[in-house]
Order: sequence, then C-alpha cells, then structure tokens
Amino acid sequence: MQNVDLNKVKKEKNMKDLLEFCIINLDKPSGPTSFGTDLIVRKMLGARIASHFGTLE
Amino acid sequence: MHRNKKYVGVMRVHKEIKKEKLEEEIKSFIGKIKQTPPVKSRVRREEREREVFSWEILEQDGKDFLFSCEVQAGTYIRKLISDLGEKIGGAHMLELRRVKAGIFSEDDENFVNLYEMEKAVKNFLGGDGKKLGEIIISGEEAIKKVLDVVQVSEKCLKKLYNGSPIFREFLESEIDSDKFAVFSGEVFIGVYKRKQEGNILAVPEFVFI
Repeated sequence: MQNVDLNKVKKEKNMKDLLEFCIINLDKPSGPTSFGTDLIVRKMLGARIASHFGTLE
Repeated sequence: MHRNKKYVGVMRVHKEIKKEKLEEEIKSFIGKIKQTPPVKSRVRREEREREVFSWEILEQDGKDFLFSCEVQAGTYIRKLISDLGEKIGGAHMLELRRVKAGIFSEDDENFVNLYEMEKAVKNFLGGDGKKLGEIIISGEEAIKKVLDVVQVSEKCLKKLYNGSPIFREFLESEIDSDKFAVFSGEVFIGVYKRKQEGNILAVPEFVFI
C-alpha cells in the first residue's frame, strides 16, 4: 500500500460533499448574464446544476 | 431570496438639478411606496406596495448622481428612478450594483470574483483546497440562517422522500413558523409549509434529493 495521507483524503472528500450543495457569494461581472454566469461556474466546478438568487433590477 | 436588498448605482437626470433639491425630492420615496412592475418583469403587472428603507445621494457629476439605497425584496430600482424622474423632468438609471442581499454582502470574507474563484478551484484540483474551502458556504448552514429548523426522526425519511406531508409522529422538535427547513440530524430534507388538515401538520414546498 502506498503512503496515503488520510487527513488529506478525508479533507478532500469533505470538500466534494460540500460542493454537492453549496452557495458561493460571487461578484458577478457586468458583462455576462446571470444565466451565463451560472454556466461559467458550472463548467468550472464540473457541477450538475448551478443557479442564482435573483437577477438584477 | 425574498429578503432586503442594498444597491449602489448611477442615475442620470434629464434636467439640471442641485444635489440638495434632488435629495429633497428623494425623501418622498422613502418609506412605503406604490410601484407597478416594469413591462419586462416576471411578475403580474399590477400596482403593489414596497418599502424603501433608505435612499441617499453619494456623489454628483453634472447630471449623473451616484446613489445607494436599501429596499424590500421585489422593489424595482430602475422603476424607482423613472418614477422620481416624473417629478424632476426625467431621470434614468445608468448602472446598478447589488451590494447586499439578505445574509450575503460584498463585505463578507467569502465574497469572490470569477478570477479568484477559478484560482481556488484550480488549487483544489491541484490538491490544495484551502482557499475553496474558505469560499464555499455549505447549503445546510445557509438554510439554517434564513429558516427555522424542525427536526424529524430518521424513521420517517423514506416517507418524506416520497413526498409525504408531515405528521405529528415524525417530529422531534416543535413547528414554530409557517415556513421552515426540515432536518434529520445534520441531513437537510427539504422546505415545508405549515398546513393543518386532519392529521397533517405541514406539506412539502420542495424535497431536497
């Protein structure tokens, strides 16, 4: 068996669990739409779903 | 997010006006106001009441005014400015930035832009998840901040996941509000609405899977 840092493995698993259901307080740039920004975030995280709370105006 | 919002923006007035005069005009829009949603909106276009908690002019540059305002959810800022314009010979909004929505603010430690986020994700994929860990807010924690929590027993989970309403025997804590988050221990089950009907105490608004 290889030397595995159990703490590291545990931490990363926790992070993946967290990423399953989390919120990011994001500074949306003025260019892309809210939906466009969802898409960018979704690709970045390889997430199934990304959404936003309310559009501006 | 049906919570108060805070904005910073720029409006342009169509006729020269002194900052003091504009500040005087703005006063009549603070407090409870009537507003009709704009043509481009997702809600019914009928007059409704909203509350403006504050509205201040921060800076003037000719006919452009930098302002900040805090309003009730569902208040249209572009509309607010055009309604103000009716009184002062016209005004429209040039720019708008939301700086606070309910429990989320641009002053928070975890507030990031897309570049910072991308870097944090890259670091995480490279084995260093420290930054990403600081940025992401657990959904469960956020829900606990905005809704009351009602605990149910593990035994009833199968029923709840099948869309069952909540019955007395499911509960491990009391229901104190009309809308609440249901948890079984640390597991978030869904959002429920109080509805007393026979033995039913509440019905699901959505169940989280």
